[in-house]
Amino acid sequence: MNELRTSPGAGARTIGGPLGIARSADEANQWTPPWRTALGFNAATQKWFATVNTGTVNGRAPMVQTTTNAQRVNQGSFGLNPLTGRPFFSAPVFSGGQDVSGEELINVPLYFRPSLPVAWRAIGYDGDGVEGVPAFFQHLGVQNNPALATVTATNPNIDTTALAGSFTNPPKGLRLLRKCDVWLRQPRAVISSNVTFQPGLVSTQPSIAQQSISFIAQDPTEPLKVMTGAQPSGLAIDPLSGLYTESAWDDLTIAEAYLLSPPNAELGSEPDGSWTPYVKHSLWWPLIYVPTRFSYPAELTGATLAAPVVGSGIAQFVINAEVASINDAAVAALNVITAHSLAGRWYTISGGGSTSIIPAVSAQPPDVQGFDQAAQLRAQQLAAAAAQRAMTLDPEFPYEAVAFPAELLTATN
Amino acid sequence: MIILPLPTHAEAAPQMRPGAGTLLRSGPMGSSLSAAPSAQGFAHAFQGYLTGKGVKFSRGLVEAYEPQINGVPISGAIDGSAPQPTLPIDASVVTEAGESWACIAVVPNAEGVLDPKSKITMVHVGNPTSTDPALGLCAVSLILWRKGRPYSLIDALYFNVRQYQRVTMPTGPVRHLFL
Repeated sequence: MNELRTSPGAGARTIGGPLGIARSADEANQWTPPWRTALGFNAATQKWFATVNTGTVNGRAPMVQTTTNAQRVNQGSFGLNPLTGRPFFSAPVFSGGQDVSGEELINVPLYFRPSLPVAWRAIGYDGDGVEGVPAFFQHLGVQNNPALATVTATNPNIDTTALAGSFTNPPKGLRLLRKCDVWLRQPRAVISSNVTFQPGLVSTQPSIAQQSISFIAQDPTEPLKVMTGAQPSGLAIDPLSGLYTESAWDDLTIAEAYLLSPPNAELGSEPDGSWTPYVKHSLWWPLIYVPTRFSYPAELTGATLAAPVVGSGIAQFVINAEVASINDAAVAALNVITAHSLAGRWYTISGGGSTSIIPAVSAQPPDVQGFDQAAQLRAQQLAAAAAQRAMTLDPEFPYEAVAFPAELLTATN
Repeated sequence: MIILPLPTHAEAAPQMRPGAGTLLRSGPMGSSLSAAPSAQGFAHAFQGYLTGKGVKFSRGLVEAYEPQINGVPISGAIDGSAPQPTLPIDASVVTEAGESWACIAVVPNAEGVLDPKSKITMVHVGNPTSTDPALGLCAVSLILWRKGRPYSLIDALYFNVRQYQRVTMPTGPVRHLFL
């Protein structure tokens, strides 16, 4: 018998099975971009956890706040101390000569690949209805909370009474969805504002608003961190509601992690190993963070500028403004807060100037009026690409970068 | 990928054909199926490589200029007169956390921009930020150390720097912007 003999050559491999022999090219050793987030399931604890590939902000790796016990559960160890070569934080210097408690919070650099706990929240059919289900998951069998259908232009609130009976008979084949955000938290300095009114000279209505702006320096003990959970959204500012203080950090979304249940999962059930993980990324490249500096409002002509009080990292100035109404005062106060907010700015050194696309491509379809067949073809391609994007979580390479904020080039603050 | 059913006898032995991206060689000793080597990574500007003596970098540009190490462009002299240089790294600058950085260091002119006479070099530092008006730093690689030796390198820059500009602020130190 003259059997065919074939050996795997360079870059190829052979797999034999009961149905025959498969010969294929080796799998690519793919490059993993910064901030790539992966989900893992610990069968021992029946818990999901996340890991984030190392990315940098101004060249520095962020920290993960965790405990040694939490890391041992998922990984057994999270690296060696670069100075001693012994397990991280095992040296007495880190505990003042005493053992570090397994539950004591420690900051571990992201390059040690610490595991991050994930706190899942339900979105979709058994969620709270606040967050809609992305089209990608609707295509896979997830449905929106039926209460969302009760939201109309005239009734913007969710009608919970309309939910009666919806959860007793869920659609057949329904799949559930859980979500957890992963984001960067950069600590920064903040301002606080306090507006008080003095009686006017002409009427009994408040006509002089005194706005006190205070500057509070950044907490030096707070590092740049990677957080998981429900990322807080920007809160609306009510500048007249007593003392308003900015958030003491700037947040930037790294990724949204999802778990998709098998069909017909029990409503409200906790995800286990049978659920399928998905991740939608928002960051791919190293970042630059530029803090905003505090400056006195020298441009505010007509305002009374009190002598600045500086001490213990706190500066203060007071603005007296004549206002005609409460709304006028609110607008004036909000303008001051917005103008002097110490929110920093993020961007990626992309080599692409101010565009966030690498390389620069047209994001808008061209004018398809008339008989320009090339323009029509381009519009069709863009429409097809947009439809494709709706059906995927992450875009194809090259990935988008965080655009450079051009206002940084002007020397304001 | 090619799938062959297991031959049961000589007459049933199928004829192998090379599929997409594969090369089939046949000889008296049998056949060999080869494929092109898989991609090993993303070759990008300023990609750093730890060597026994320091760090080497792939070609990268700051505006129209290539940073230099000891007077040689980081990817080596174009005319071949000098090989790709190595940035020496010094354990004395390593932080307590075991970190150091390879950075682009630029010396802007009086207007705060670069010109053909500007000095653009690679440096090894223990702090990748600069408040010195005469020196702008841009982190390229984060280098991790253990027991006085570098053991890992993390890229912190993936693209050429199209523009550098120093912005003088009304208060506080200057701002070095690489974009």
